[in-house]
Formats: sequence, structure tokens, C-alpha cells
Amino acid sequence: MATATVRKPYVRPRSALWWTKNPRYLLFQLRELSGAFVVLYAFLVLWQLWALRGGEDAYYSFELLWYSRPMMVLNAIILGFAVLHSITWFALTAKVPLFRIRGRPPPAALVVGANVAIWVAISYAILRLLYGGL
Amino acid sequence: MSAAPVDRVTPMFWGIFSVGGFIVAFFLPIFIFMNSLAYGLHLVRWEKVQYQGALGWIRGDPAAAFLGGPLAWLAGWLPKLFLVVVIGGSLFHGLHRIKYVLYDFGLHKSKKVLDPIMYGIAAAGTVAAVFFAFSFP
Repeated sequence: MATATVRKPYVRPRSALWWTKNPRYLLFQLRELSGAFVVLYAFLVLWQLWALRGGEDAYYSFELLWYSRPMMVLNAIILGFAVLHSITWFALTAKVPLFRIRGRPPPAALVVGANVAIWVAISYAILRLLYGGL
Repeated sequence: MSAAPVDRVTPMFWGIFSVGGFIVAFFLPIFIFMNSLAYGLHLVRWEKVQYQGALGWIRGDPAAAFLGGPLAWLAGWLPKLFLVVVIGGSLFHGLHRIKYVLYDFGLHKSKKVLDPIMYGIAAAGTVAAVFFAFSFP
């Protein structure tokens, strides 16, 4: 007859700063950190919409802040993290082959290249369609 | 002996995370550039970004000029749907990532608390985006 077993798994101790020990771990954490900047930007846009709903004066005050030097720097940093997300995301999709060429998964460079091409095309389409160009 | 209950919730959030990942990767950089930096870099005129210009953007004026004719009815929908998709995708994707960063920092025992907080914020923000975007005529 089986008796109940008591599990006492070994949990390897890990420093909270483990990700500083290796550049690969650092890139991994930076990529994960991009999530925080993406969320921050979503809330900034909600704030922008809130100001736009507030009328002309409210939106003018908002834009004085929005186009101030510190906000421009913050938004540039957010854009940097967004681009880091795009590139690492395309590299990630290369690891999940959706189709095979002669029985082999497509080479990573092909998948990343195709993704970048789609990215450029979509960005251009948004620029022309939603913004009417520069 | 009964089988362990199948977890259907976690894979669903990973799925939303993945869709959000594509939305953020393809849509967010150009949006940040046009919405936050283009005017500051003197690439677009003030008329396009000030109050009336912003209202016109969300009404779909540039899109209407581009589409024209029989597709003009789409123009009013595109900027609003774009905002909702980008904000919602960003929130569900980003907060999922932050959740796993917090796990890495030792909060993996707090799953039951973290899950509702993170996805709750994402859902609330998405609802707010729908409400705001479609509150403009």
C-alpha cells in the first residue's frame, strides 16, 4: 500500500541581483523592462485623451508639458525601449517555426528580415493613412 | 484518483500577451514617434498637433482625405480602433511581462494576488481607452 510522501523540494538560493552577473541576463531584463515603459506610454496616452476631452485650454496646458524638454527625453527613452521590444520580439518569433522549408525550419535571419520588412511597411501605412504623411 | 484540474486561464493570458507583443512591435514605435516626437523635432506643423488638429486626427480627417470616396466611412473608425488596440495590447502585454519580472524578484509566491491586480489594471485601462476614444464625435 502506498503511503503519502512528503515533498520537500530543494529551492536553489538566488541573489536578487542575479541578472547583473552576465550581459545576456542584463539584455533579458532590459527586454522585460520594456514592458514597464510600454505600460507607462499607454497611461500617458490615456492622460492625453483625458486632456483632449477637457477642451482647448486643458489640451494646450497638456501640450506645453508634452513638448517640454524632460517629456521629450522621456518619450525618446520610451521609443528606444519600444524599438528594443520590436527587435527582440522578431528574434523571438524566429524561434517558433510556423512552416518548414524542405523539412527544415526557416533560417532565423529570414524570419527576422521578413518581420522587419512587415514592420517598415505597417509603419509607413500608418504614417500615410492615419497621419496623412509628415 | 481524479485528474488535476486543467489550467485554462494561464494559457489564455499567454495568448493575449503574444497578440499584444505583435501589436506593440508593429504599431507602437511609429505611434510614439508621431504622437510624441515629430512636432518637437520640427517634422510636423503646429496646426496638426494643436487642439483642433488633434480633434481632427481622432475624427479621422487625414484618413478620410487618404481613403476618400466609398471608403470614407471607415476613416472615423480607424484612429479610435487604433488607439484602443494599441493601448489595450500595450497594457495586457506589458503588465504580463512586469508580472514575471516581479516573480523573478521573488514574488512568485504571490500569484493569487498579482494576477488579479495586473490583469485588472490592464482591463480597466482598456475599458478607459474605449470610453475615451469613442467619446469624440
